Amino acid sequence: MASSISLPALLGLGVLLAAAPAEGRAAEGGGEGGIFASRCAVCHTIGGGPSMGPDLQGVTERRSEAWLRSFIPDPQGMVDAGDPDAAALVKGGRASMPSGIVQPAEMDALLAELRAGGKPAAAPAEAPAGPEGRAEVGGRLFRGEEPFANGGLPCGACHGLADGSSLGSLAVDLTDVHGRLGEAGLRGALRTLPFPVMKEAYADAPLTEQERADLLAFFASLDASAPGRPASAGLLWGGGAAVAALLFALLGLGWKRQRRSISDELRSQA
Amino acid sequence: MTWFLFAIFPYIAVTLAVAVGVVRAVRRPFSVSSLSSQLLERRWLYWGSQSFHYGILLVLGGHLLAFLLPGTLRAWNGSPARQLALEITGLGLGLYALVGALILVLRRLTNARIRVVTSPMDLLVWLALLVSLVTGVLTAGVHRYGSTWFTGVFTPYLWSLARFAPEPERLDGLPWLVRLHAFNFFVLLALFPFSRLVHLVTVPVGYLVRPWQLVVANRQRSAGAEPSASARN
Repeated sequence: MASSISLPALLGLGVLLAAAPAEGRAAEGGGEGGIFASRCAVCHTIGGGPSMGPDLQGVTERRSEAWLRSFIPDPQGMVDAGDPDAAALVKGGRASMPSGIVQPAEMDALLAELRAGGKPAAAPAEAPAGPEGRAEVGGRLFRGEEPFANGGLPCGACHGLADGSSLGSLAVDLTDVHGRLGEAGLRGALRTLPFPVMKEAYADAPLTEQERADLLAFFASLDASAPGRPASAGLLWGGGAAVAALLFALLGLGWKRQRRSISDELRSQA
Repeated sequence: MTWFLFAIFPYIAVTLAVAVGVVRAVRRPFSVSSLSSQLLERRWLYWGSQSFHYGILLVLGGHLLAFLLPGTLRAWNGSPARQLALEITGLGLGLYALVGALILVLRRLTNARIRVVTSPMDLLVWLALLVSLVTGVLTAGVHRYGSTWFTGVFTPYLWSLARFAPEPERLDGLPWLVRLHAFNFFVLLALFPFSRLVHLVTVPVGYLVRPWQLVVANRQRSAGAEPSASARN
């Protein structure tokens, strides 16, 4: 009698113990709307057509679970290991999808979301109820003329714009980011900033809701098709070379005023 | 790998720099010197040494400013025009130092008198310095704008090292050029106590402003030797 009660009870307890950490991870890692919405929807859709990355509709049927569990946390690792399917997805042997966006421990939750067709991941598509964005303020925030409230780096520190108003070139040009990611994708990207350097740089300096709205409005206001003036990096190189040349010219003046050696003095008097 | 390069090696480099530097200063105080070769050759030294030292000291000062006063730098860069002016100045000083370094390296390799007093360690130091200068100049020109992103990437990273809680993951995803530039700084730090780089701690302020010193070679001239010279060192 005792054993017949305790066995299901033990099994139930086991299920609870197994489920609890998984739920905890999903809640912790996924943020609002789950893992897909906060981290993957920046580049992927489920049924919405290709964006920066491919449409992930039915990906759990196209690929084996083992493959997805290896590829998603570390795409470059799979390419380097010589996996032919992974290699077929990348250009020039370099995966554009960064490693580490999703941890192996989070894959249970993510696979469940992917199988559910992005159901819990619908957050980016939901109607934004946040503050209204001001494109002009967004532009000032981008260029660093107005600092972010939490001390985050201005976008222009690393990103350029085709009109030459920002020459940042550590990271990609953002002129057409609104068209590339779409409104929902860009909103998700601004919320989580899941890109390699940004992830760390903004971890303790998140953008406020108003700032995200302002930046979104700014990006939407940029006309990617307008014939922009090419980012004039030549100004920087040319200016730098001019500064160096000027300093050498000053050095030339100094040489004449240098104290001559005693032997030079004697020779000149001889 | 990242952990070794940016979390373990920096501590090895600092430990070497301090410990070996102190031992050297105590046990062989007269070896803490730049080993000036001014008496052997003066003209190329003037062009190379002045430009290299002023350039690199000011650029190093800029890095230090970004580390210690990131807010001030961020405020200055709050205007795109001021940021561009600062970047042009920084790149100009970097090029100034790089050309100076190339002059000094060529002098060291081609001048027979200088070659005689050149040790393998001197060449190693020059190699590391050239890596620093080339990667630094390219970073400034290609991965713009370092004067701003340094404050959000390297400033917190360096402070994490200072707190003994290294966060090397902050450098993940940076271009290899930038990572090489950063790692090479720690290489220079490790070379510092074993090379003529130790002259960095010979009270640099006084070194810059003190009056001329006359260094006179008081010996018989030998054939081909340049006679006495007045020198700053």
